[in-house]
Amino acid sequence: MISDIEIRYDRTVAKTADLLQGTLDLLILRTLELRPLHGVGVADRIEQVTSGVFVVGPGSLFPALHRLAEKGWIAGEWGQLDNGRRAKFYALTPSGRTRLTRERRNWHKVQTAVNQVLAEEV
Amino acid sequence: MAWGTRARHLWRRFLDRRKVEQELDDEVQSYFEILTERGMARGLTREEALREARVRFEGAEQIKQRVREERVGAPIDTTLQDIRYAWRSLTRSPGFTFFAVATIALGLGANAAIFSMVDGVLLKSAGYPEPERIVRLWEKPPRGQRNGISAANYVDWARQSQSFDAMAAQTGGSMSYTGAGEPRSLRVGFVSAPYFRVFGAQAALGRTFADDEDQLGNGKVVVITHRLWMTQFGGDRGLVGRSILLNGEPYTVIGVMPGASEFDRRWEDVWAPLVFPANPARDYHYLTAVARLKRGVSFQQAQAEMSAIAGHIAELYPAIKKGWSATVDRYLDGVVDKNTHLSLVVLMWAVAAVLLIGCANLANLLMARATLRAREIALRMALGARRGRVVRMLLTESLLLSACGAVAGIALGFGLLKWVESLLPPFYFPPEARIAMDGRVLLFLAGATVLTAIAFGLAPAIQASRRDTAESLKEGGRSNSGGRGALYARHAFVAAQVAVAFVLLVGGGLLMRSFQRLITVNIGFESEGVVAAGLPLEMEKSPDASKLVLYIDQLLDEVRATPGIKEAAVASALPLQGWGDGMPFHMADNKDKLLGSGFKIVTPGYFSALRLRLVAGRYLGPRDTASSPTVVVVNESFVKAYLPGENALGKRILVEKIAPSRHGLGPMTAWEIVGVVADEKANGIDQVEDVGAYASFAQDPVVGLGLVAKGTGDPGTLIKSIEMAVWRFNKNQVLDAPMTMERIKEESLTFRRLPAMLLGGFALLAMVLACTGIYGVLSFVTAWRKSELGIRAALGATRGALVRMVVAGGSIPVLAGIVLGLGGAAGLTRFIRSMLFATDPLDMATMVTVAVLLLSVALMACVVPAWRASRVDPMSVLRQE
Repeated sequence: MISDIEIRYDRTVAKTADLLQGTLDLLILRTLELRPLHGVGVADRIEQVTSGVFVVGPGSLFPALHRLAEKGWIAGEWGQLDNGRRAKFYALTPSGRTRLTRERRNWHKVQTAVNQVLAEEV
Repeated sequence: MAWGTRARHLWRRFLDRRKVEQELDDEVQSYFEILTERGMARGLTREEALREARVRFEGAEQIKQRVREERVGAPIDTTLQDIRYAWRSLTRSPGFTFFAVATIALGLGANAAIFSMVDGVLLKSAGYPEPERIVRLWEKPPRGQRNGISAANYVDWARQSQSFDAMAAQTGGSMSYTGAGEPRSLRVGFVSAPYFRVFGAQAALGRTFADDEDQLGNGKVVVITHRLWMTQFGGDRGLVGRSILLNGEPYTVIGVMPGASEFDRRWEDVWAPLVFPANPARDYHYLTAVARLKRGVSFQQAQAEMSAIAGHIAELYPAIKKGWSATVDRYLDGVVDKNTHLSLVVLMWAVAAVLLIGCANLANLLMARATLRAREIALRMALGARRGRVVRMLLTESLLLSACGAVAGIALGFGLLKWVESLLPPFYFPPEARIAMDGRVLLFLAGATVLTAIAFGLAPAIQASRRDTAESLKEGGRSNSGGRGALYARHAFVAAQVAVAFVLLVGGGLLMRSFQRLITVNIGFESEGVVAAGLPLEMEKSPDASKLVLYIDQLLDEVRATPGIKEAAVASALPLQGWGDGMPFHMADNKDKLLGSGFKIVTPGYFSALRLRLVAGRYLGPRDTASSPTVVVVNESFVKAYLPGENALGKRILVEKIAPSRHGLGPMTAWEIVGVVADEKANGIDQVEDVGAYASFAQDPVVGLGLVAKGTGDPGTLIKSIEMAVWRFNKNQVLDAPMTMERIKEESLTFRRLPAMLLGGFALLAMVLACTGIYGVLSFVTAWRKSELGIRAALGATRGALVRMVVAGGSIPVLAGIVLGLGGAAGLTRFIRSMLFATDPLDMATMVTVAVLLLSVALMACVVPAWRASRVDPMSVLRQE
C-alpha cells in the first residue's frame, strides 16, 4: 500500500510514523490558525506551503482531523462552498490555539536540538 | 485535558451511532466530490476525474475505517464487534455450543460449590475481633498433650495467671425448659462469666454475663441464642429481663446473642454461668477452657506462664497431679479438624481436575473447529487482519463460551451446595465456618472463568492464526488437520485426561471401598429396633444417689410396661457416642502401673437391649445393687490390651467411683470383673480398638444419662410411645433428640460418606468427560483419514479390519493415560491415607477395577467412530479425490 503522506525527497523517512503523526497535527493546527478550511483545503494548503514536500492524503487527513476534534482543539461545522456544495469546515478553538503555541515552542526546541547534533563536526 | 469533549464524543459514538456514521460518510463523500469537480475543471470527464481520485488515494470505506479506529472508544467498539461475531459464530453451531457450555457449567459449577465450602471453612477469617489472641487451654497429663481441666485447677489458673485479659471454663449439658407445651430440652453451655469477653462478643439485645454472675449464690441468669429466641419465644423483645423455668427453677434471660453469628451456629441453645461449689474437685477433668491473651503478651510467654503455674500445682498436690502440666493452643488452629480440612482440599483438587479435563476436551474441539474454519481465518488474514487480531477474535469466542458456562455453573453450583448442605448433619462444620455463595465465590468464579477460557482457547487460537494463509486458501475448502504435530498434541491431551480421570477414580474408589468396609463392620450390637435419647434430669445440679436410682427405676418400669417395647435401659453415654467417662485405673495386683479405660455406667437392660454378645462370665444384673460387691463387665479390647492370654474373670481393678453430679470423684473402689462382652464400638465405627468397662448404675448412680430402648414396629411410633410413657411418669421429663440407632450410625459416618460420595461423583464426571474427549478426537481423526480408509476399503480391507485399526489407534493414548494414571495414583493416594478405613492406599483391587472400568468405557467411546469409519464408501471417497 502506498504511504498516504508522501515526502518526496526521501521515502524512508515516511516510516517514522510517530514523528510524522505529531508533525501532521502541528501542520493542521498551523494551517487552521489563519482561517477555517475544509478537508481538501487543508491538504492543498499544506502541499502549497511545503512546496509539495508534504502531500497529505484523506487516509491520514481524516483520522487526524477527527482526532484533533475529539481533543477539542478544532471544531467542525458544515458550510457551503462558492459553487453551493456542502463541506465540513474546521476551525481552531481557543484550546487549540493554546495547544499550537505549545507545539510550536516544542518544535523549535526539537529543531534546534537536531540542528546542533547535525552541525557538530565529526 | 479535554475530558468533557472526549466524553461527549464517546457518548455520541455509542448512542448516536447512525448520525455519526452518516456525517462521516457525508464528509468523505464531499471530499471526493470536491476533488472530482476539480478534475472536471481541468477538462476531464466526471468518470475520469473520479477514477483519478480513487487511484490516487485509498477507498472511502478504508478511510472511514481508519477514522473509526482513531476515535475514542475504539477498543470498546472492537470488543463489541468481536462479541457480536462470536455470538453469531456460536449460534451457527448449536450442538458444539451446547456441549461446550455444558462442559464448562459442570466444571465451574462443581468448583463454585466446593470453593464455597473451602472458602467458608478454611479461608474466611473468624468473625471475632483479633482472633489470633484467643487461645485454648488444656491440662497436660504425664503421658499425652491434652486433657480436660479439673474445676479446682481452672480456678487456680484463672486466679494466678497474668497473661490473659479474660479466661473462661466451659462444659456442656442440658436443662429442661418447661412452661410452654411439651417440655423441651435445651442444650446449655455452662461457661465462666468472662466467656463472651474471650471472644469479644456482645449481646444483640440485653447484655452478657457480669463478672460476679458465676459466683456461688448467683448464676440464675441465661444468655440465649438468636435461633432459640426466634423459634421458642417468637422474637419477643420483652423477653429480656423476664424469667423462664429451667429444670424447674426460674432463670432470668439477660441477653440474646446476634443472629447469623458464630454464636448462632454453636451447639448451645443457651448459656448459663458455670458456678463452682465452694470446694471444687481437682481430680475430675470435665472442663475445657478458652482465654484471650493480653495485648503484647506472646503465645510463648503465655505457654511459659501456664507451665509454671501448673508445675506449682503439681508440687502442691503430688498425689493426683504429679507430672501434670498445661498446654496452650491457638484457638484458630483447632477450629477445623484435620480430616475435614483434608477432605475439602482433596475435593478442591478433584473439581479443579474435572475442570481441566473439560478444558482439554474443549481445546481439542476448538482445534478441530479451527481446522474447519481455516479458510475463513486465512481470508481474514489475507484482508489485512493481524495475527493478534485473529487470536483476539477467537479468544473472545472462548470467553463468551466460558461466560455462558459460568452463568449456568453458578446455578448448578448453588444447587450442588444446597444439596450437600442438606446432607450434612447439624454442627458438621465448626461454628466459625460461614459457607455461602457470596461475592468472594463469584470473584473466584470470574477468575476461574477467564482462566478456563484461556486454558482451552489460547492454544487453538494461536495454532489457527499460525497457519500458512496461502496454503489454506489454495486447499480450496478441504479440511486440513494441521499436520501430524497437531494430531500428536491431541493424543497427548487424551492421554493426560485419562491419566487425571484415572487418579480421581482411584481416589473416589478407595474412599468408597473404605466406606463399604465401614458400613459392613461389626458394630458389636444389633441396632435394629433400638432408639436412643438424651435423658436430662431436673435434679442434675445436686443429685441425691438414692432418689436418683429410685427415679430411674420407676421411669424404666413405666417405659418397659409400654406395649411394643421389649427392653429399656439408661447409660452414661449412648451407643456410638463415646464412653461417657474415661477413667485412669490400676489392676489390683499391680498398683504402680496407671492404665486407662472407657467407663460406662449402665442399667442391666443395656446389654439385652443392644444384644451385646457375651464372651465370658455374665452380664450385669439386678443382683448387683448398692449393697452387693462392686462388679464390672469389660470388653474384648480391654482384655486384649491389659489381660492378654489371661482369664479376666475374677480379676479386680481399682477405679474411683464417679460422684452422682459427675463433677467429681468418689472413693477408690475395687471392682471385680464378672463378664467379658464384645466391643460395642463406642467411639465410632472406625475405631479398631475401644477399651472399655461397664459398671452398674445401682452401684454408681450418676446424672447425664441417655435412654436406650428396644422395641418392635415402626421407629416413629416407637419413639412416640416411649415419649408418652416417659411423660405419663413425669410430664416435665424431657427426652432429648430421640433417634433410631440406625440414624445415629448413619450420622456418625457422614464425615466419611460425604467425601466418598462427592469424590466418587466427580471422578465419574471426569471419566465421562475424558471419554467424550476420546470420542471427539477419534471422530475427528476418522473424518480426516476418510480418504485413506476409503482407499484401504477399495484395496480389500474388511470392515472388521478397519474397526480394529481405528480402535487400536484410539486405545494407544488411553493405555498411555492409564499407565501414567497408575503412577500418579501410586504417588498421590498416600495423601488420603488418613481418610481411609482398613484400606491400603495402593489397594490393588481398586486399581484394577478402575483400570478395567476406564478401559472398557474408553473402548466404547472408540467404537462409534470406528464403526463410522468402517461404513466409508470407497467409491464416493475416490470420486472426491
